[in-house]
Order: sequence, then C-alpha cells, then structure tokens
Amino acid sequence: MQSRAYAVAIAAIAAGVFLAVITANLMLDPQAVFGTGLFAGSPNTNSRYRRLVAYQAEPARYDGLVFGSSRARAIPRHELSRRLDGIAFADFAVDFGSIADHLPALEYVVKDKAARREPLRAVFLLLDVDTAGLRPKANKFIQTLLPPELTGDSTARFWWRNLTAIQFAAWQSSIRAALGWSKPGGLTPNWKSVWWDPAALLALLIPPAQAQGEARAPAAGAAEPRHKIMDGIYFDQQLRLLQQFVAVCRQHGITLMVATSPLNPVHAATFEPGEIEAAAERISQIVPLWDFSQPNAMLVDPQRWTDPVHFDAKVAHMMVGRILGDEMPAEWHEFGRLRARDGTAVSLR
Amino acid sequence: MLFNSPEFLFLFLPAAVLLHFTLARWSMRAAIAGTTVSSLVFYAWWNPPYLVLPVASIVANFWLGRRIAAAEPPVSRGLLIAGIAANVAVLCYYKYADFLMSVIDGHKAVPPNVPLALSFTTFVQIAFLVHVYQKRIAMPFNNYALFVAFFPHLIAGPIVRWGSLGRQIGDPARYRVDWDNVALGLTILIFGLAKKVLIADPLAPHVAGVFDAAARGDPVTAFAAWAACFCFVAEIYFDFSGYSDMAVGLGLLFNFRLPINFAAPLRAANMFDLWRRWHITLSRLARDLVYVPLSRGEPGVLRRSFNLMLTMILIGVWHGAGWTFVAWGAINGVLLLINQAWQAVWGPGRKTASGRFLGCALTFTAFAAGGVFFRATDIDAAWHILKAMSGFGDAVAAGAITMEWDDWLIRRGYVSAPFVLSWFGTTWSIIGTLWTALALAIAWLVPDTMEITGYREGDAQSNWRRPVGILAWRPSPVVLVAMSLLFVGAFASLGRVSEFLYYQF
Repeated sequence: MQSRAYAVAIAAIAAGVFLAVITANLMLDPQAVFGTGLFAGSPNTNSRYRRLVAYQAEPARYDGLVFGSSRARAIPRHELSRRLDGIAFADFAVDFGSIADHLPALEYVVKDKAARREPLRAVFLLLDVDTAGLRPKANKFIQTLLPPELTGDSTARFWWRNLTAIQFAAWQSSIRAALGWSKPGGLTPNWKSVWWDPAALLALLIPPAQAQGEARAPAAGAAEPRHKIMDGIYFDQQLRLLQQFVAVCRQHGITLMVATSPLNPVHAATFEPGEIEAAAERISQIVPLWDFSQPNAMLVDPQRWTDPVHFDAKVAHMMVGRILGDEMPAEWHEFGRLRARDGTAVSLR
Repeated sequence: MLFNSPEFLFLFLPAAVLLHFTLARWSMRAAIAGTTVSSLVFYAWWNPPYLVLPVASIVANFWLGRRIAAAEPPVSRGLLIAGIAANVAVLCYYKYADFLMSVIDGHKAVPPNVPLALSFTTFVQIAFLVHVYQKRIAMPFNNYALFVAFFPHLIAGPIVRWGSLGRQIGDPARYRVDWDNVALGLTILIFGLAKKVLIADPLAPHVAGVFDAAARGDPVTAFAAWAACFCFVAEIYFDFSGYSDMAVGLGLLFNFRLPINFAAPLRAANMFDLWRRWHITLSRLARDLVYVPLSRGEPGVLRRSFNLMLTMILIGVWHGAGWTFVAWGAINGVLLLINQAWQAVWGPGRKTASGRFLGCALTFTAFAAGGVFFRATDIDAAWHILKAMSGFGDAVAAGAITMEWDDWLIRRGYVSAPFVLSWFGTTWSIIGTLWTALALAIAWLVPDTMEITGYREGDAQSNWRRPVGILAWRPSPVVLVAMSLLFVGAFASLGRVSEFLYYQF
C-alpha cells in the first residue's frame, strides 16, 4: 500500500468520525442546546442553559428566583407566589445544582434587572447539605456546562464543546427515552452520566422496594457508613460562595429565603453521625436557615419520596408552610427548624 | 490547547499543516514564518498575555546568540554565562521564587503558577547558547524562532537541540510533503494518543485515591501504597511517553524529525540503563550541561559521585519547586550511585535471563518507590505512603467499601468485604489492581511505538530494541484497519479530556 493512500485514508477516517460526532450532537441534541434534536425530552438536558434561556425569553415577567438542585423542582412556585404578594419566581433549579451554579446566575439576573430598571424582590435558595462537601458539578461535564453569559467564557467555546462532545451514553439515553425504553421514575435512566454524583447515583441504584424505608445494608463485614461533608476544601469553598450570594441579596435589598433539603433517612444514615447537623449549623452562621435536613418521623414514610433522594410535593408544601409561618399539622410539628447565628431568630431579609 | 482535544486534532492541526505546505510552495521563509505564527497561536490559546514571555525570550536569546557567535572567547564566555544566568533567573522568578523564600522564612510554599513550557524553553535556549558558543554558528532569526516555538515540542518536549532540529529547519528539501513521513507521523500520533487516553488516563483516579488519602493523613494499607506507587509509574510513563510519541508524530507531519524521548524504560535492567531510556532528551541535556562540565579533568570517584548527585538533584528540581522534587532527584542519585558501586564491585558479570529479570524487577521497584516523592503533595504525604509501604502505616480505619466496582463484586459474593478492607483499605480497589497489572504488562511485554515503527531519530543506542516480527509497521490495508480502530477507540475516550502531567513542569 502506498504511504500516500494510507495517510489519506487515516485522515479521512478521522475526519469521518469527527463529522459523525458533530452530526450526532446536532441531530440528537442531548443537552437541548441547539434546538435541533430529533427527539424531545432528552434526559440529559443542560438545565443550566435551559433555565437561563427560559428567563431570557420573558425577563420582565419575573421578580423572584428559585435556586436549588433537582430537589427544588418540587417547591410549589405558584404557592410561593400566591403567598408572597404575587412575586413571580423564575426557575433556576438545576440538576446537581450547588451554590457554584447559583451565584453566577443570581449576579446575571441582578445585573440584567438593573439594566432594565426592573425589581428583583425575592430569592428562594434550597441548599443540599449532603452534597455540600462534594466538588461542584458546574462546568465539569457537558450536561452541567454553564452558559457563557454566566461565566464570561467564550461563546464559541461553549458551542464548540457542545458540538464536539463525545457522549455515547447521552446519545444512547436520548434515543432510549425517545423510544420509550427508559425505566420510569428516577432522575434519569442514564446512570453512566451521573455515576459521579452520590445522591443521583443512589437514586438510580437502589431498587424502589429497597428505597422505601429499607436501609441500604453495607456489604457483609463492611464497617459503618462514614460519609463526611466538611472534610476537604469544597465545603469551605461553597460557604465562601454562599457568603457572596447573601451579600449580593443584601446589597440589592432582595428578600432571601434559605432552606436545606429534607433528606431521606436511608441516605442520611450513610453520613457520620452529627455531620449533617454540624454542616447545617455552619451554613446558618452565614445566613438564617430553615433546616429541613434533620431526621423527622414523617420523612420515614416511603410515600414522601419520589425516589431515594427526591422528596415529594407534600413535603415541599409543608416546607413552604413552615417557612411562611403556617400552623402545621400535629404530625408535622417537628418538621423544620430556623437556625440562625447564635441561635437567635432574625428577619429573613 | 491539548494534543488530545478535538479542537487541536480537527481544527488547529490540519490548518497548521495546510498553512505550512501552502506557504512552502511559495517560499521556505514563508513556511517558517507561518508555522512560527501557528505555534505562537497554539501557545496563546492557553493564556494570551503570557505569550509575551516566550516571544521576548526568543528575541533576547537570539540577540545574545548572535553576540556570542561574533565575540572573541573571553567576551563570548562572559556573554554565555550572562545568558545562562538570565534564563535561569527568569525560570527562578516564575517557578522557584516562593519556594526559595519559604526556605528562608519558613512559610509554606504554594505551587507556583508557572507560565506554560517555561522549563522546557529555558533548557532549549540554554543548550542553544552553549551550542553557539562551541560551534560559532550563524542562524537566521526566523529559523531560530521556529526552532524554539515549534508547537509539537514547545510545551513538554522532547527537548530539541539546534544541531538536529535547527539543521532540519534550514534544509530546503524538507519543505515538500513527504507522504512516507506523513503516514509514519499519523501512525505514531495515534499510538501516542492511545497511550494517553486509553492507558494513562484510566489509571489517574486510582493513583489519586491513595495519594489524596495520604495527603489528608487517612490510613493507607501496605498493599494500597505499593500498588499506587506502581500504578503511578505506569501512569506517568504512558502519559509522558504518549505525549512524546504525539510530538514526534506531529513533527513528522511537518517533515521534521524530533528525537525520541522514551526507549521502553520500564524494561531497564539497572538504574543507569533506566535513566538512559527515561526522558532521554532531558537526561542527555543534564549530562552535557551539568555533569560533563563538572567532571572535567578526570576527577576521582568521590567527586564524580558528588557531580552525579548534583546532576540528579537538579533534574529533580527542574521538575518542580518543592522538597519532594529535591528528594526525588536525590533518591535517584543514590540509586545510581548504588548501581555504580555494584558494578565496580561485581563487574558487568554474565547476563542470564534470571539475572536480567531480577535486575529489571529491582530497578522498577526502586524507581517506583522513589516516585512516591514525585507524586506526593508534600514530604509528609510521601512519608505517610512510605511508612505504609514498609508496613508501619496506621491500622486500617473502619470504613465502607467506597469503590463501586468492588462493592459490586462483594454483593455478588465474588470476593469478601473483609478481604477487600484488609488488603486494599478504603483507598485502593480490585479494579485499580487489574488496571495497573494490565498497564505494566503492556509496558513490559508489548513492543514500544518506536520499536514497532522503527523510528530512530535521536536514539543513540539501539540495544534496547527487540525484534517485533509481524508487528513491524508498514502501510498496508490490515495496518490501516488496525490503526483506524485504535484511533476510534482513543477518540471515543476523548470525552474525558485531561491534561498531560508534564504540562505542569
């Protein structure tokens, strides 16, 4: 074989493979960023991008924001709006969301609102204590890329990365979802794309029967669970970002409501005893916090969980009620607690 | 821009090669200028403002080189010393200032933010000044600029010498497409890419698990410590030799032959052999610029030993500012001295298969143990790992099985949890062991890229090469299919693009 033919063939094959990747990304559009996807409802949507686009479509409509991870999707926006003088909340709850996602989004909206001379009245921030010690997922994966408007990064780079991402699992799950082959429930059937997230992984790995109340037994001979939150650098980093987040709200007179997500007792049991409470306490030193992460009898009920890590609408309804000072039913009386610096109750503003 | 990124492989590289040969049709000078600009764009992709540094360095060293070539010996010697000092001073300013201050005032040094490629370009240019001083050569600026900035070697070597690459850049015959070199270059490029993304990258998290635990002071079992240090040697070998292969392959696409940098070093039977085959261009430069000048005039054994130690410590420090790198260089110096003493006492001896095997195993083990200092974040972490390796580590703390794959095996009853916990602890895993074993088996048993392709540029000794039989590369439909599959496999793994380890030096 001639060297020339060999070289040209290799170059052509390489170019062909590359073009195939671009074509797959454009046609399947797993992150739903191009708007060209053959199939709707991809389980790997880039919620960071979609939330921003949704806000940008009608910025004047909103004067409030909801931040959080996928758990915050259960928070009833209409109820919040009804109870808070009709504030319209834009949804910035994103998959695997952390304060590293929320701060740039808040800064963007604040700036945008100031430019439009429109008010931003309230922010509801739901924090996940259990994942607060993990490395934030923002910008770490193709599914969690922050839009360039939020990062100041090159727009070309954002689109290039989406165009050239090699993501077999996401392509596969898009097709499976479109063909109805995905398992019902759970976060996403594409477990390969979430293996790095303990909470999401847990949701996918534990069979429903086991998830409903049964503790995930450690392997025979394995010692007690020992997840920690405050070890390592990420928890402190997130606290620093939270400080900035609070400062932005204070600076612009935005009412800030901060709460922690309720945790499934099965999941909570995988942490060092006292670790979750101590982490919540650290957060409350920065901002008054409605802490729902502590054990509660009502949370043991499997009906309260759509999967092992996501609480249902009833729990979310009770959270909002507690935060807004409703009279709680007797069985929910112990649900949620306001933590503040030095234990004093303070204004939420 | 990383060699293993889509933007490099599918945008920058084709554009740079096309630009080079299109301009070459017009004139050689235009091609040199065009590829120099491409190379600077490649560099600027990382951090545009830092482009000022290599450009200023190229201009200053070229000016100095011209002065040295034109001056009489006493003056030229002074200029040479001034040039070397200036280059070292710039390197020290960016790379060692905080470390040196920490030695003086005792504060904890932080890893410096070193401009990309500074260590490599500094050595390339110091070697150039020495070459000019010795040979009194004249060179056009364009050629020199391309010699330093040529992007295949710019960031992490191989460290090129003017006597080789400079001569090729000045050869008009090299400015025509040579399809033999293009075919060979693409093949070597694919091998390098595969080494990096298919072998080195999957090893990285296993190494990190143990070394990060050590940095936190968490318990590490003896098995985990040994396995992680073997795994690290495999990782850095495939990472850096993969990068070097890619650099050689890229050079060939431009019709330039860069020197090989690795000669299957993990198969070395003694430490001298290993250092002749590991990061060859750096070892040779250190020999030529440090060891040989220090050893002039037939010094005694003690003096030569001191010179060897000093050279190895400098090689260590060249890799990074920190006591861990000093220790790594010193340990390798000591190992070389032990090797020297052994040879002095026992002589070369008769080479038997078992003797070679033993030598190879001892050399690899000693090199891997020394590598703990190279990988550890600080001396305390290195000490933590070494204690674990020697069996004096802390007892294994009770903990859950954190490795998903091991957990899967345990749940299905293939292995027991106590077995995993007592041998691997919570930082190592069965999958890590299997990956490491596979990677090392490839390093020991499978012929190296340069053996398969028969590429020999810069290969001063060929006794390391083994017959490769039917694996010998030549363009054919079968090889085309095999290389295409290897490329597709490597390309499919590009999703987890990671930096090359040597980018940090």
